[in-house]
Amino acid sequence: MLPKPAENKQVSAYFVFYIISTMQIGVGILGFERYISRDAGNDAWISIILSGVSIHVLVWIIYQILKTGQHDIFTIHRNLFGKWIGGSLNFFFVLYMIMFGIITLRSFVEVIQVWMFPDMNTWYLSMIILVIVYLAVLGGFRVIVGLSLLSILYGLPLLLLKWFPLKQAHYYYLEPIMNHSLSDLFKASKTMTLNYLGFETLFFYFPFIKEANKSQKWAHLGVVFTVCIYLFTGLVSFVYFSKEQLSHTIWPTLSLWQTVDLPFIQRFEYFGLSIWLFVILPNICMHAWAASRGLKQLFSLKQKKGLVLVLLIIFIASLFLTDRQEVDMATTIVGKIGFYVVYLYIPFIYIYQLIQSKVRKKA
Amino acid sequence: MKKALLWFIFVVLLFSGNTVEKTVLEDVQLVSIYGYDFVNKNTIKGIISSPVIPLVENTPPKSTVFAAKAHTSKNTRQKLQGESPEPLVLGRLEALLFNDKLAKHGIMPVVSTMSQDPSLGRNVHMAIVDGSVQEMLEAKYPVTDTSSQYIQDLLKHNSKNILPRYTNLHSFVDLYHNVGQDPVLPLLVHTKDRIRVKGIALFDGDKYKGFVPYADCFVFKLLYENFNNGMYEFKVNGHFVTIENLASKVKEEFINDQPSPKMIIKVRIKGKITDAPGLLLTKKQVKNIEDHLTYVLSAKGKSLVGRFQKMNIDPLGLVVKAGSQDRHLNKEKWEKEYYRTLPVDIKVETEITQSGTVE
Repeated sequence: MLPKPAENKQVSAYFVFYIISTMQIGVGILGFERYISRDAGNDAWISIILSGVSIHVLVWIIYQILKTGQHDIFTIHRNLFGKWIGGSLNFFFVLYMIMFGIITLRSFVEVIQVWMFPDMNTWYLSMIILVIVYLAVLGGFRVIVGLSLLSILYGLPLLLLKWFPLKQAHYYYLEPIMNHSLSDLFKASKTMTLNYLGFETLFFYFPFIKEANKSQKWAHLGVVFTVCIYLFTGLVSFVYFSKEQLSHTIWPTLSLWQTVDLPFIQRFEYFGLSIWLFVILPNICMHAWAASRGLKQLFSLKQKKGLVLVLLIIFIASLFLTDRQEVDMATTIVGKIGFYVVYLYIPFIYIYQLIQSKVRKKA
Repeated sequence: MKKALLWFIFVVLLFSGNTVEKTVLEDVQLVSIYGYDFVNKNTIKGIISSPVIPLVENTPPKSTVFAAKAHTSKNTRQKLQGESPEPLVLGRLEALLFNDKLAKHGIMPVVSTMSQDPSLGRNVHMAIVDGSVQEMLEAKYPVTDTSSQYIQDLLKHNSKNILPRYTNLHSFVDLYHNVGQDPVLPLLVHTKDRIRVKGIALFDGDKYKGFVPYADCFVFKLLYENFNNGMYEFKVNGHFVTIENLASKVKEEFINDQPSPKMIIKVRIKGKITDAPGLLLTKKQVKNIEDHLTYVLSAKGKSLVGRFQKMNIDPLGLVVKAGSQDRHLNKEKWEKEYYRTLPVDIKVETEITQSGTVE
């Protein structure tokens, strides 16, 4: 069991706001509109909100678990399930983090290859990004939090560019409101969950927050912020693209950058994608950090060595995803696993923990 | 030591020559207009116009035109590359032109390859050319240095007055895919040393079907979108009056009363009399002009919509707008069966607010 981190390694409670929303905004936001409008059409924006509400409930549950356990998920697993079952659950969570690292990296590399440099090799870009990740994670948790803050600061001005597509918007594309059935909306909400994933990293960095029990409101605010960003992004795409065209567009948000018409820059996507590196960098860092911390716990491996191992796995796996279909498939599979983890496993631990603490009290 | 070795390997890999192909601005041929002409059913001719900036100071840019025949648009590009001294780059493409004959056979095969290309923007203008695109691009025009500049400027400023505001790659593809609305594009024609807007080209899907003549474009735009520009001339008691549009708003209202559904297009126009020779603009006279304008606009609008229905095309997107007001409407079915016979009423409200500085 790892000791609690020293105070000079912790961060203030309000940083949870930045970490949560940074982790939720990644490559997914560049293309999520297409997937949710497939089921819910012009009402897909309702699904963005519905899905966001469910995330609030999950964040609340996560805080209940962590407040009771007062440590990260690795320790809680061990306390609840013992060495072997707890250990294998921990191992699963390490793999889970690595998988997210892989698809985040590979999707970003794919976007770069399609939009900027078609002749750039996957290994070359992956190598550069992973070396940056290595350096950042070596700096410790605080550096990752710093990157998260920067990612919000750099990413936010990009929202101003929605002005350009809004000039060409057809607002009647949103009407009539609520012409899809509830089951359609739920289907789209389920798809939307994948984009909101990332908040569950709370499980790993909880001990690194000063007065962690008081940070819950910041976590909820972070989710509200993310929902607003997704909602705004989605609405702009839904009034700019007709439903039929949206189904043909792989990265609607990116395509919207193509409408930017500034006198000093013709192709804004190049600029936007370069900024986007800062948006996804903390995500990969956090995944690698959490995974390496898990390895440290499980096998008493030094975190630096664990990190190298994790990054190597991410690097090699990203090479095996060679084309659009494979990346898409991997994303869908990881999304499904993530869906079951947050909607089934998290409530399960919560209930299990409740029962156990009652049993222990009686005994 | 081991660490230093690893970093050394990284640096070597970093400079291992895995670099991206450079495109230096001086070493590429920027394409500003890409056009297509009809050759025969299976063959198209791709034409590009590219500005050449002479190295000598104070000489105006010239435009060069390349043309090549092929079966697909990508292949025309390949063949054109074979003619060009520097590699052709589409990144700054401003307009796509299509010959009317080609457009009659459908332009989506070409447009979809263009819209898939990430190096292109979404705001590339599109237009149909009555006649040969190649002749239009090759002609010399006294008004501007290059033909491509002429076409760009012409399309840009006319989209405020009489042409639909957005007739670009995005809007075309969007309206093409959208069930219940057909795209429209500007129609250009080339006379000896001028390029002129001939009207608005109408489409059924991606096939060019006919056009709204220039004189009716103002009325079409009134029905098509809100705008605040443009002039319209009409006759009042034997005198010609010209009004300038200060602001116009259009709103469709769909009344789905079975068995006889109805569409009402409501147009509100605020105008200013700019020219009324021989008419004394008393209050009564202004009212008279307003009434005339209301009558003329709704009659013209009705005949336009009637013509669209007869041609079975929906450039105004009446089915989409009906669908946005009625949640149970089946757009596919409406487009096919009911649109042609849907009664459309046009209600025009006019308000003339000013009559210039002289009374």
